[in-house]
Amino acid sequence: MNRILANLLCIVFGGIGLNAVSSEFCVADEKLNGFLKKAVDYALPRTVKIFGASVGRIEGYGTGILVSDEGHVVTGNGVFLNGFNTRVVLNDGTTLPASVIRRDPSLQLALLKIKASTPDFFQLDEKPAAQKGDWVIAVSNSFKVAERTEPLSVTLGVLSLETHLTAKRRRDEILYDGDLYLIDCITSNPGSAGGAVVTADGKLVGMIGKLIESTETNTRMNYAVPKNLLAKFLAGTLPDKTVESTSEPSGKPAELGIRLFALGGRKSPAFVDRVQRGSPAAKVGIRSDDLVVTLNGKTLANSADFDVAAKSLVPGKMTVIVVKRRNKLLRFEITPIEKK
Amino acid sequence: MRGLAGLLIIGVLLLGERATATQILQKEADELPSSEFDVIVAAEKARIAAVKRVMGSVVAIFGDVRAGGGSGVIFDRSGLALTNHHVIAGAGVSGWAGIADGKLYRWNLVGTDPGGDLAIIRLVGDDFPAAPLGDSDKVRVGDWAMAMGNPFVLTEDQKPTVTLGIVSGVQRYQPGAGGNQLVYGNCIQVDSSINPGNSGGPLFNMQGEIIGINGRGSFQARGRVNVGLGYAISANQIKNFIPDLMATKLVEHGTLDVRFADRNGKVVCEAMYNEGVDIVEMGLELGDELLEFEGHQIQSNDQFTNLISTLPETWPASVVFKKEDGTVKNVNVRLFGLPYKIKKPAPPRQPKKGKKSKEPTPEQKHAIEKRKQMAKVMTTKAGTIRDKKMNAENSKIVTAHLNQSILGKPSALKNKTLIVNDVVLRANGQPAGKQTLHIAGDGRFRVQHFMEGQQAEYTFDGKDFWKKGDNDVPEKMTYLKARLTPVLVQVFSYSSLFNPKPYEIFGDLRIDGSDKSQASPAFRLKTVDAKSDWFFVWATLFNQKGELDIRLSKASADLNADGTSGAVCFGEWKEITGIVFPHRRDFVTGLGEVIQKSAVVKDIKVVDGIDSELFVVEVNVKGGVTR
Repeated sequence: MNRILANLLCIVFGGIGLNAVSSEFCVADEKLNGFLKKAVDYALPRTVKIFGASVGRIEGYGTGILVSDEGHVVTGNGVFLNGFNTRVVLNDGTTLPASVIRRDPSLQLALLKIKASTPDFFQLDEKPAAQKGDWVIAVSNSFKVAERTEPLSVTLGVLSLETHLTAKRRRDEILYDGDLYLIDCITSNPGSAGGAVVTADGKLVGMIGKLIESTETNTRMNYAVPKNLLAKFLAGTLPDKTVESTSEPSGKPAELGIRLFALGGRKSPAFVDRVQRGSPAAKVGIRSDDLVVTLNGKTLANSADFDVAAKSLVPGKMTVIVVKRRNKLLRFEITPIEKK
Repeated sequence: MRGLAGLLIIGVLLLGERATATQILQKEADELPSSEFDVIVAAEKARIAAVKRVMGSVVAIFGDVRAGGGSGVIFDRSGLALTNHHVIAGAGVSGWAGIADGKLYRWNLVGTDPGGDLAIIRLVGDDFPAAPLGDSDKVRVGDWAMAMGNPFVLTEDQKPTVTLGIVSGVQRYQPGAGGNQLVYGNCIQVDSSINPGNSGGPLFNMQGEIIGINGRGSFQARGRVNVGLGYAISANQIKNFIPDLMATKLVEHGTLDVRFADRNGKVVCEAMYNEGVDIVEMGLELGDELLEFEGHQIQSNDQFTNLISTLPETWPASVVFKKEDGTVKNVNVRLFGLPYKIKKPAPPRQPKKGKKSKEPTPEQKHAIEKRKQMAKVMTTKAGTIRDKKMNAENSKIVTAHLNQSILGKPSALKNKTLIVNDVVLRANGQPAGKQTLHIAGDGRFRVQHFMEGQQAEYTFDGKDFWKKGDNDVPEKMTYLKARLTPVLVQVFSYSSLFNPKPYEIFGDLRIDGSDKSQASPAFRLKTVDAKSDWFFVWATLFNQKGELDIRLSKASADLNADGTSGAVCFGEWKEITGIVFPHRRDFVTGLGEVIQKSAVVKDIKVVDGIDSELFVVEVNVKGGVTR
């Protein structure tokens, strides 16, 4: 470990030392100033840009890694892959249509296939490539800085920790369920998911995971899905952990016909923006600007709570909703219908 | 774990806590081969040394009131500093600047480029610490990059913040803010933390050279804080704009005024907007394929857009295109300006009816006045010299550098004569003649030029130019004629650097703007207050070390050197007993500087004394000329 770091630093700082300090220490020349060149040169042809459907404010682009010589691409699962026109752009700018052949909900992975031979790819195996404290670089198309032949972004960080998010708060908001690497380079940007995380000599460590953001603080986690899990996913040997439904007893979602104000932040109070015509809410007389106070026996602090409570509703089963209108609290008995 | 400890040590070292860090390192060192340990220590020392070396050049920029602020970097000892346009657009045309010595200095706006988000200010004072400009084309993805500046207006003691990261991407394009403003073309993307307040600050490589000016980041819903993507205007783009900015211009960016598009893997001309466009006059037609631009092979229209967005208007661009019949044309054209759409400042708010209009406070009055001054800058005609007085001061800086560049010792030629024997070569390198130059330390000179059986002798006697042709009769040349004679231009534009007499005849040299000479960005200087026509001098900006080192590159009476006289390009500067002389002078024509013939030094010497006889022109009455 120490040896690796020392070697690395030799390369890292070798070139720099020459100008300012006597050069007796180092044999490295100025060419080595860019110590990450090898890793970058290795990772770039093995990482691809993915463009798909953009839905509302969800970006229609991402990054992916080539994992076979037959055009298999692993990326983060997302709605942008749901369109009819998903395209993969290789490092040389070649653009090819891609189809989704497998998804994994618990690791939020998707396996794509392009019809092309891809001789440059990351070999997925279960042997860890890096340890805590090692340099890693993340290669991704964050913010869509690259579109065709332009190279992807490269950021530098350190592998901070290998962990499982067992103690996380508000677990139900985090879909990812598996071991992960925390890294200290900023990868939680739009389009980054699916990017390659490699060591300073180019070995694949893992893949940048889908965005995890705290609804409390708006802070985000920078992490990578470890290579061994990617290998299992590719081999199809992941345990089937289809998330069991916790909040929909009937199996069918219920609908009240209420849309709340979205004020940008996720913690906006549960004010009613619009009531759908002919909906249960309209029938009982709920109006715009009402503040929903309780639903189905749960007191609501904000619109996120409303969403949680609404999930527990069962179509056809009467429940109680309390709203505040001006200075009055109004109680309604309401029967949700099945969501269309 | 140990790896992590190593990282912590780096952090500690960066803070300058060398004693403690060395102790920790010593512990680690027990487990390291000593050679590797030494390398790490040496590398860390080198980085700290680089930070120390350039730290003094980093500027914290404020307006007159300390509300918000930006960053900048001094690139010349005279106090000239680079920053962003959007920094001065907020701060105004003057304000306060702090550097690491802890003092605050007044600064004034010199010139600004809203199109590329670049501006130059000048700190009031002299002998400032300056940082060199590097070659940003050599920057590679994965290189270390240090950003320095004043993020979140943190510097209470004016010492800059340093953030370290790597280059994440090169040749990035970040679109502008509309109206042809704030476009980042061919820029450098870094993961060094760039936050509000870093704007205008330098991005350094590990040698302590400025490789860019940090100006923007990718920001998202989470607010304007670093998310790992910062962008810096490349040093090489900056070099293209420095002369225009020092000329106190509002600079526009260049365009060919035609549109290209990608078609079947080729970049072809798709649309033309106006008649009489230079490139169209040169033969470009719709459907023609763009092959090269400014020496770069063009693969995509994006790449072309990226390249051209780094060039100012009137830049002499080289363009290679292929006609549909297969002929390839290689042309040079000056770029047109992309006009800015400047939003008019909002009219002052009318007080609501029924409310008494309050008398503005002195602070408000001051703010209104500053806004007016800024609006005036933004509405000056683009490409014109805004402030003649400031331009004159900057021109003095340039001419001082120019003079310095040829004199090893100021007295190198005092009471001495430089004697040069040249071979004159044809464009194909074949010898075609010879010439002898006598250049006296007091500015007088004589040229004896023999080429293809013809001979001519030119003399400058300190007051007038004389020509003696084959008939051996001296005739007095008008200044106009002298300026149009390249054989004379090659000597007087050089000798004027140590003895300004000839230029004084033509007028004072002032910075005219950015230009290109011998494939390098250059100052174009122009004689003003001339009694007769103009004369132009081109001077390259930076030396290999990135220091502002202004050196004579070209001279001509014609802006585009396409008149009958052409221009003279100077090269192969070598020192001879304390004076630096161009050992090669090319006589060229056109924007592309096509060589017609060259004078190359065969032998050169400096002799003591000035033989006045050499420079006296004897005129007999028969000649019809009297002195």
